Amino acid sequence: MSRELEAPRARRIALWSVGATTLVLTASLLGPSGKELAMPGELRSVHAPLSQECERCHSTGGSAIRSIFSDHAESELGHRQDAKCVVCHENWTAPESAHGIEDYGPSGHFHCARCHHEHQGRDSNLLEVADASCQTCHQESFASFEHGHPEIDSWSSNIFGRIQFDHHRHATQHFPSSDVTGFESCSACHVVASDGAAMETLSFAESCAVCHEEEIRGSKQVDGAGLVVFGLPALDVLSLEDAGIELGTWPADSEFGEAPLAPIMASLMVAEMEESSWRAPLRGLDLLDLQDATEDELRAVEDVAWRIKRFTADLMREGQAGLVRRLRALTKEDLASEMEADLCASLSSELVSEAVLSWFPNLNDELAARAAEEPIDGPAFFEGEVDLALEGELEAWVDRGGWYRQNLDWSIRYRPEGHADPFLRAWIELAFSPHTQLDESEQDALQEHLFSSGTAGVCAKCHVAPEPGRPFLWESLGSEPETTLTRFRHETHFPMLAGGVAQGCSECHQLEPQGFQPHQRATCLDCHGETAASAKCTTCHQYHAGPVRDRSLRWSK
Amino acid sequence: MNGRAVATNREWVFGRYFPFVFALAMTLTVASAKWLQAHQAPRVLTGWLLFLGCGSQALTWWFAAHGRGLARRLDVHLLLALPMLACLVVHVDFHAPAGTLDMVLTAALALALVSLSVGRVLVLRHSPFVQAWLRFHIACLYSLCTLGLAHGVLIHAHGVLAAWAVRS
Repeated sequence: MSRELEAPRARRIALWSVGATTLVLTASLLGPSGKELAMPGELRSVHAPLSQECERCHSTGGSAIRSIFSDHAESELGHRQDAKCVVCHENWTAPESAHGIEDYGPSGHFHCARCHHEHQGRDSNLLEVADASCQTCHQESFASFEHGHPEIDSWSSNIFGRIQFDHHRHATQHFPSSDVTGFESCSACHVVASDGAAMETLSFAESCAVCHEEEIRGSKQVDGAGLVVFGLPALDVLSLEDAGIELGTWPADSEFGEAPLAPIMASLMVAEMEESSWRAPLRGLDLLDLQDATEDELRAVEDVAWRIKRFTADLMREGQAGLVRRLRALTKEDLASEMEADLCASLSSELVSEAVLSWFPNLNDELAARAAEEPIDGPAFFEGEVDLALEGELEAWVDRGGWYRQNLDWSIRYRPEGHADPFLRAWIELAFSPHTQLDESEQDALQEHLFSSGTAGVCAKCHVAPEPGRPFLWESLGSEPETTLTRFRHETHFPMLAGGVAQGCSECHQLEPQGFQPHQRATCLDCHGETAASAKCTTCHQYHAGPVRDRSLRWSK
Repeated sequence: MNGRAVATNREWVFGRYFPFVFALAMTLTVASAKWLQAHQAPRVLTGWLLFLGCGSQALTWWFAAHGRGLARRLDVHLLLALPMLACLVVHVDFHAPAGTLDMVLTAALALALVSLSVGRVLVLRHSPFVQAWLRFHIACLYSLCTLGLAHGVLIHAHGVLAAWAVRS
């Protein structure tokens, strides 16, 4: 007996088999349940209404056929199908890019279906991603969270990125005793967010204002509670006069009048000029002692002095409209009306007129004579009368914020009305904006004036300046958990704390003089091992972690 | 070594200890899956490999010459089944098939593989049922190829199924 099967017989069997299978398959597909038969599994319940509408998720274009033969065509098809997904799922920035970063990594884009497998049944979990999927790219992989996962050592240095707060000093020096009501536990300042994930910090008014509100209003400021917005530099007028330079009237210098040209005013003066290097010759020059100044330096001082006079005249004549025009020129773009209002802060005509006319009583005549190149009458400088008692009253009069005049140093100042003062906030955002026409030194001077430890408002005491070229962001990182690569749901873990919510935070957050200690992976492993709670990659890490959304929309209309 | 001894050794490998050989195949499958998955389109790639594997086996039966090397051919088919199993696991991305057509296809694949293994054992044992059994295996194999082709066109050429669904 031959053990071999003869070829003709094998062919007959093959043909019969192909024919019978084709017949049954065709009959089934064309039958009433054809779609259900062809469907590669039931859709998840949320997508179940789409069961009869394949085209809602699947592209029907020509590349559908080509995709069988070519990876490139399949990639094209994937892009089109991803576009169908994000019609509804538009939550994420660059959803098909790895971690929301455009063109990140060697693999470029990943299609939704690469990780989210549909047609796996009504109760399937589309968010369930196998660790192997993550480790496809993360080649330096490790067996599991228990074995080989890196230590969790970056939390403490990142979490307070935009707010600097010395927890240890507050706990040990300012509130050393638990008798101080409200500060005996972390929950005095931190509450779990509504979604149960992040721990949010209470607002300034709820947690910090008790101690820091008066400080922001300037009660502890040595050089006045208000911020110098407009001010005159004290000049060595006698030396200028001896050199034959006509300045007209200029307020006499005094022991208080040594302030340099106010950076905010200087920025507004720069706004409408083609080149902004006009102050450069003055750098390093002692304006109160110009005896040894060169001819060029004296001419530069003269130029600055007359620019100031013209600016103050414009300010007096045009008021807020002139300020807005200069602000728009300074920022090179249209500002939102709310922003313009904040930057002007209801500056009044009366205050400006009174101040300017007290500084330059003959301002209009002098400017007219200067324009006509005629001799300028009047004294070179005059002694202003300073009533120290009145000065203090003027500052105290705006105890809750606002504009006032300070004759001690020939300035118009603004006193913050409290935390998040709109005027200071707007000017600080402008100072750090990459969209101004200030040169680097001018921007540095403006930032130093508005955002340093001794500045009115003391914003820099808690808030952190952004990286160069980045917009200023006031909120702490805690308000953006969706944009991070790692997530942690605090509320889920409260029942595990031996000390409860009030006292148990220190089981993970250990406070030392130098700050919070890094987390210990071992703490997590108490539960998240191979046998207890989940230890998959996606338990803590999320793939769709887009970059921080640009919050500088406030700048444009 | 005479022919009987060789046959005994083959029987020892493919007959008595076939479950262990199968377990080894699955181990190789899982080990190679991650490497295959790292490629851009693992489903398309492995789908083509599966189709080529099934098609080549089917063609050998179509062009089978009388009385030549049946045992060797079955050995080759069994060896070819190992990488095909790896491809299958990657192709389904570690998920069990959920659709009716896919389940039928998987059943046909399993039936073809089992019938192939049993056929090899029957040949080793010089069983009188070899030819009848091989007819059954060929029927399974060609059904598998037909179903695989339908699956490839309908499921992986996404637009075909979607367009068909729209028209119907």
